[in-house]
Amino acid sequence: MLEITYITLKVAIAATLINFPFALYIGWILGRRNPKGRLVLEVFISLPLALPPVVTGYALLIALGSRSPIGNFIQNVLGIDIIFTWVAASLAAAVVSFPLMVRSIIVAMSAVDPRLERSARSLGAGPMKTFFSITLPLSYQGVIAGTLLGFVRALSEFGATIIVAGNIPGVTQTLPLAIFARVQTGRTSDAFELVAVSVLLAVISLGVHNWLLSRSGSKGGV
Amino acid sequence: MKKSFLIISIILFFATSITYAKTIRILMETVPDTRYLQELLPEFEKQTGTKLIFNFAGSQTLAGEISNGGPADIFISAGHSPARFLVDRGHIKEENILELVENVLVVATSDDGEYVNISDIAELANMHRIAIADPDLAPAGEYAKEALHNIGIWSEISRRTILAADVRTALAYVQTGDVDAAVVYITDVSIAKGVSTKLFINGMHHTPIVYPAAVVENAREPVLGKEYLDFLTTAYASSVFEKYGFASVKERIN
Repeated sequence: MLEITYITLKVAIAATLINFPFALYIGWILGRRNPKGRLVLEVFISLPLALPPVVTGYALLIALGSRSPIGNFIQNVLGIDIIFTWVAASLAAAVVSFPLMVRSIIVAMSAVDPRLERSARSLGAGPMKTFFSITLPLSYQGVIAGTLLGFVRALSEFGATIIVAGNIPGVTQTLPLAIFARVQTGRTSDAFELVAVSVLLAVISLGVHNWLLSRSGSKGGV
Repeated sequence: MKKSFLIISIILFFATSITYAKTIRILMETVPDTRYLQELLPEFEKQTGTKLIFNFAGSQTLAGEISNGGPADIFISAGHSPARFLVDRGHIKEENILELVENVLVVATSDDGEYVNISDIAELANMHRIAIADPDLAPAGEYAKEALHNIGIWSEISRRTILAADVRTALAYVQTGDVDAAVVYITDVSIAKGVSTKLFINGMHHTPIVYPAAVVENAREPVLGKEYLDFLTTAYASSVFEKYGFASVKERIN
């Protein structure tokens, strides 16, 4: 059980770390800028939310499998196995949880007063400096809340994971996969223990998430 | 005026078209490819004016649905154990069970990979990776493991065997080149383009993969249900089953 919890946390944390810079960047573009093709970008990043995770899983398998150019490059040039490893599990979790993370970040960043950013720019700060000294500090609670929401989704990812990473005990078997396997084989009492761990992890992350949201709400920030 | 239009639209959306006099609900143990049953559908519906509703899920789920009073007329199982599971719980009667067809295990490989010409099952031992369905999740995996074990190569290859969520995923791994071969039912190989059957596994190496079917106790339409099972044993139905690779049970007995 410890091993399953460890794999689950490793996969979900890696997924969140992979997503974070991209989510920040896209959240800033869609929250602070009004780019051309906004709708297309918004729909594209939200697709994993709308598609059944199994579809996302097959898409990733085709994109990263040994016969695809990307999969071939990673396997033969970099010498890294992706499919059937925990890396594949975290990539699956990353893709599926990305929309939840980025959508919260968009909301948080669009609430930042644009006049503050303009003042910073007029005082000579570059776009990077403005972002890190004005936009991010003013929206960080929403950003962290979104990150936690994505993390919670990554913890519970099942459909895409079982396809690209397989259900390999001790390697890629996360809590949701282990619970599924136990329920399928009628070992429901074993499953309950794992469900308890899942609930605990979810309660902690969602508790922090809601606490951050209520704090930012009371300050009138978001 | 607008409001009533909306309400009528909603009602029409949720009302299923009731053009058939009777429906039979069939619960079937999950198998990826059921085109043979789809192909048999129109003929039976034409003959009897009965609509068939299929519900595919694992045996545990199906047993749960039946014992909680969910509507079910027929249970078709892939393999003996799910049927036994329901017999033990009193949802179907042992004497009502009919064995419809028998499936065959095969080794499937990619048509343009390294193992296009595989002629001996022992070659599995040379492969980098092999996929079977997870024996815990799908009966197909149980039979594959049993056969590989009885052939005497399981201990050698088990560490390199990927347990896929189901047969469809095992075949997808062959398609993407992430495994060299999959041991699956012959009837499922055709769902994967570019993958084909290269080797048959002799049925003596595993428990017969029969598909037991029975009318469920407390069925709403027991008579029609029996009629459907009789239909599945007609020469016409057998010819469709054989087209998809099934061996008929009669053949095995003779």
